[in-house]
Amino acid sequence: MKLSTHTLTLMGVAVTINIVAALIGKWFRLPIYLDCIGTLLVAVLQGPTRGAVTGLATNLLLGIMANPMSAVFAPVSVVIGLSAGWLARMGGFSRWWYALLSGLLISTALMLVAVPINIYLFGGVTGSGTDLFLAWLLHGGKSLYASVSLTIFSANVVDKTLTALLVWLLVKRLPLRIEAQYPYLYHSHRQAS
Amino acid sequence: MTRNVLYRQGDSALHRLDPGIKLCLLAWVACSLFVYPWPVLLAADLLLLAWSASLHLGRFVALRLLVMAGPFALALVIIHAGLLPAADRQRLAALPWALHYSPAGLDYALLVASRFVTFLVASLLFVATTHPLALLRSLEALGVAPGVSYLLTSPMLLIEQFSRRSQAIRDSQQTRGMNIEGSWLTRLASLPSLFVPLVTLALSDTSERARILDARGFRHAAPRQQATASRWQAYARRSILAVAVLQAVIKSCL
Repeated sequence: MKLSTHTLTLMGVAVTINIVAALIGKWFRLPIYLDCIGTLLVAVLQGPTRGAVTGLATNLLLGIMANPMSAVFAPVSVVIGLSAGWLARMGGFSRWWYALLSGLLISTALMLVAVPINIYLFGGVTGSGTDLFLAWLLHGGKSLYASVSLTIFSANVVDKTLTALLVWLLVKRLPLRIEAQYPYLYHSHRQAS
Repeated sequence: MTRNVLYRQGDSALHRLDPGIKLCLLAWVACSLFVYPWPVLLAADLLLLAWSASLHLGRFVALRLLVMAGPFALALVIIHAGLLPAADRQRLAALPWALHYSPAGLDYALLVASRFVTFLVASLLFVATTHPLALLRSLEALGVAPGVSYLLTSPMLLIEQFSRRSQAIRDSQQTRGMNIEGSWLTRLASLPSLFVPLVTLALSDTSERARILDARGFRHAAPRQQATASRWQAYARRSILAVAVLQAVIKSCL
């Protein structure tokens, strides 16, 4: 896959947005990560493979800069980028309620990758507050696989839905001169017009 | 950039070691996690911690280990030894009240926790002694495409600029009435007023950045392989990876 200089620059900027967005999330004291906003943006502007590469680069970079464990979850970011790109192609970011649905579908898709990684490498545990929810589900008699799936889905669904809505809004408010640089945006605009 | 990285300056042998070799050593550690039982991994953890202390990184590694691995190990033990249904559940005799646990679950929890701790300590040692730019230069010397290097390097150089820019946007939007202190719904509704200008500005810059890069011909950089990657380093990398594969093969055959 030969990437143009413009695409490489866009992906570099998107990786930075992913990292800075996590910091912005903390300013607003909201229980969401917002750390894949750049990945979704590239997926909507340039398609699934470029979105996947952006997600992969974000996690690898965070792995060598901040938290080595981020690198282990790189396949999850790849799936987020791929699924967002495919959804964008189907017009999943053309209306706000489609974006809402896209967020739900992305959360489901990432669960398919995150659950096996989490169970096989980490025994289903994350070491965060969501482990209390996991413990409650297990205590209620649910299996480890079902409990981890529910925990991961519930921890991500609000975040990914809000991120998808934010990306829909960003794309909708883009100036025409920027829009013109991204032909893939046609998929997100065709149903809206 | 330095505020955002875990790299700690130093002049130890590990600091000076080629980042490519360190990356291979990390890959060997990752393979070893699935080869050895938890007591061996625990002993390795102690050795790695002692090594960290000798490199003046003991406090840095221990603090992160405590914050990242402490709650994780505790949750693992509670869930696998105490909560998951198991046939071998028995009463913990040391306590006066009835507390049941599964020895097999505890064994599994200790295995996963020791794998986590070993990989965490090894990777912390790697990131603390390897400057990200040195790692990327080393990867470039190994033949990684300039585009890949750019993709991993550019965010490191942009983070400070973007952080400053988002702070400036936040401050100016607050003067226009953006509320980041109200109810969660108010704070949520304020998110776009920060993200829309930040992302629009970033996308506006993108074309200009691309034009400058093209003008510099960054894809046509001469390969620096001969200058940095010596023959013994290549042998060392291959030997480490061969050992990692060999031990995994032996483990799968036993």
